[in-house]
Amino acid sequence: MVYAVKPDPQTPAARRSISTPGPSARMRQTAVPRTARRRNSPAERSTARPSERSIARLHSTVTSLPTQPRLPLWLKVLGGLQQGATVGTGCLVAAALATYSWTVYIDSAVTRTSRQLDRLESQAQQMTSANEALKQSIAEQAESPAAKLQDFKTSDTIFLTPEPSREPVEPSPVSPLATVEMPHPLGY
Amino acid sequence: MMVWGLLLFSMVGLTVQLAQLQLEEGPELLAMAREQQKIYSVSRAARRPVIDSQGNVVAVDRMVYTLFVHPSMFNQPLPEVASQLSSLVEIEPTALLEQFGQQETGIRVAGNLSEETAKRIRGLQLDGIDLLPAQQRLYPHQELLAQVVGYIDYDGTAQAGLEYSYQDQLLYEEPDQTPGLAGLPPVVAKDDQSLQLTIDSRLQRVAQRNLASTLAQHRAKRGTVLVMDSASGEILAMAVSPTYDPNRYYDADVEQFKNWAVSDLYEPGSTFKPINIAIALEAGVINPDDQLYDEGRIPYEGWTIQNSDFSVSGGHGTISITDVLRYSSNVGMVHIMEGMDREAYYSALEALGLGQETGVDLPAETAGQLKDRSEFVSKGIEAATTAFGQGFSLTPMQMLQLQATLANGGKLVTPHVVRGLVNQAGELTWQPQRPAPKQVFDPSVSQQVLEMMEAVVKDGTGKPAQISGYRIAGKTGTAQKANEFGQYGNQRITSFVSIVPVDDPRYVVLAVIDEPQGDNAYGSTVAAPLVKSVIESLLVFERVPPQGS
Repeated sequence: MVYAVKPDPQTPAARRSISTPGPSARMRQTAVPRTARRRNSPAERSTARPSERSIARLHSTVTSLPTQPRLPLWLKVLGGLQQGATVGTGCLVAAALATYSWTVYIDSAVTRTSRQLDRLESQAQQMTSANEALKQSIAEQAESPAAKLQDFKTSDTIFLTPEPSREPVEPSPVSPLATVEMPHPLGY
Repeated sequence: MMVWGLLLFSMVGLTVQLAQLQLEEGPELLAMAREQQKIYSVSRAARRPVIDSQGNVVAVDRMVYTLFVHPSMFNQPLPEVASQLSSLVEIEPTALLEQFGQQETGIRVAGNLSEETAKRIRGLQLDGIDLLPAQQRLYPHQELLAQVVGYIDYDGTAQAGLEYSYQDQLLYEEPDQTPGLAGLPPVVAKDDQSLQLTIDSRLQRVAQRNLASTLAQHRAKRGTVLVMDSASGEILAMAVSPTYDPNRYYDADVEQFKNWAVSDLYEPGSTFKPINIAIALEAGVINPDDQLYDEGRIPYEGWTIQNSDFSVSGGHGTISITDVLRYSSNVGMVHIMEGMDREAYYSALEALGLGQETGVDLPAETAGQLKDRSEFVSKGIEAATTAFGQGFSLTPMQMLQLQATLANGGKLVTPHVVRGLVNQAGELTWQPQRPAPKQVFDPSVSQQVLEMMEAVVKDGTGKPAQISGYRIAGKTGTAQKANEFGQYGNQRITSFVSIVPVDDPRYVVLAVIDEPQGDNAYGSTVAAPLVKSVIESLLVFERVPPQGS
């Protein structure tokens, strides 16, 4: 329960409190018309005197202000639900947009990549074909009598016996001081 | 109120429409959508490539395009389109214009266009042009390996060779036909595997070229040169003539498709004598140092058997077993095999696989022919003619397999042309299952026969195959061919088989030339020089140094 004290409109403090915004304050303010305040100016003070008692009485009484009625629980729950639903809707819209853009992106990415794969496969096929066609062409040229090439003959071949494989030699670290410095640049 | 009513009416209308679309026409529309989303595309490759033992590609899939035009949709005048397309499809503009006039749409202008040409045609940005892609198997080496690899026909069906016998290994798995992600066509699960051959295309080229020149020189009907690594049964070269270009299989005769080295039988003649000697040695009927008397000509159960050189040199008199091979004495062979029980002789021939297939991994193999056991045992003449390589028949491939037993210490290996599936790094990922080699001769027996065969090349009928610095074993063969009436006619089939090097026997080379013409057409004059030329290259490719080097 909110109580308000009827302020004295003559005091500056009362004026400040009157000017304080708020529905109850404004309602109270309407109870004291502006004309009344104007009448309290020094020129009219004599004519206002008969009502001073009633004002004094007002000063002493504390009235309860009409406030908003207390909300029932079901309304509060509904309000909470509404807020939750708003946030949820916002999230869902964001998720829907993200999913949509993701599907569009995946679609274009797959198309692009599959085109690239196709292109690469095509190139690989063409390279293989061209390479083998080249070998065939060279072989045909070599076989033509004009090339004057002969088949392999053992008498024209040098057979070298391969050396037995040796242990790999670890290179010894060379200190930078050991490098020979040339007295003057070479190649000029 | 009016507005509310209108809105309500619209909503009800939309709901009814939605329900109708979803419930009534839904499935139909879904099917239509799927149809539109489906992209009909041809996969770039349906089969794995085939490579030779050196990694050279001998068969590979590629894309080709067929050009269709629809003149009613052209955005340029007909002559303009014709002139632009002319150079790309290699057809005269006038001929193209004539084609354009045939009908309004769907005119097939050219097929087998390469990817590059298709790209250029697309680059012209003409309207009313369709390029339909298709797969095609390319054989870059043309006829070089046609008889081994075979070909794929226009419908994509394997028709011959390895393409046929290994189609399960060559084909990629069929893709799922439902549209994939983002409505893209399903992707064939490709891998980097290739089917690798045991054949070395360098040696194959040498063999094929020399075979062709020998056939031309002697005007022979057909011929084959086979090279085998006897240790494993790997075929290193298989030159067959006649052959064809598998890229243009439709131009070839049906006869050319036949790989006669595995599908046709011939009577081996004298090249079979070393095998008979090995059988006799294995049975203990003779010893390598035995001597026998060669009359030059003998009557045998009403028939006359004589040596081929009888008219020139008469009988050879008392000769060694080595001399029987050296002079290729028919009479000597008859005397050797006479000492063997015919039943045991027949069993030995059967144990060698005569009358059966070799199991080579090429299609359309024919099993050899051997007389019935009862006929062979009851008639002495059957065993006598078999002694010098006549009266039965086998394929050149089986002859090669039998000769390999003399080179590898008596083991009967399964000849094969496929090593298996290999990945990019050359590692085997799959290998065909083959029966284990069967021991048919004692290693000492094969070594003894090999040394006798060396004498044939050293100072016998095989002299033309000598190569300086190498010990070479060999045996000539000149057999009369039976004509269509089952009688021996004038035509011959000449052959020469060689095993190198004698010190470390490993490679077997067999050449068979069918119906060489001319008086001087014998195994020693036709086949032996051919085998020599192949051995020269073989020794270089296989890095076999000469002795004493």
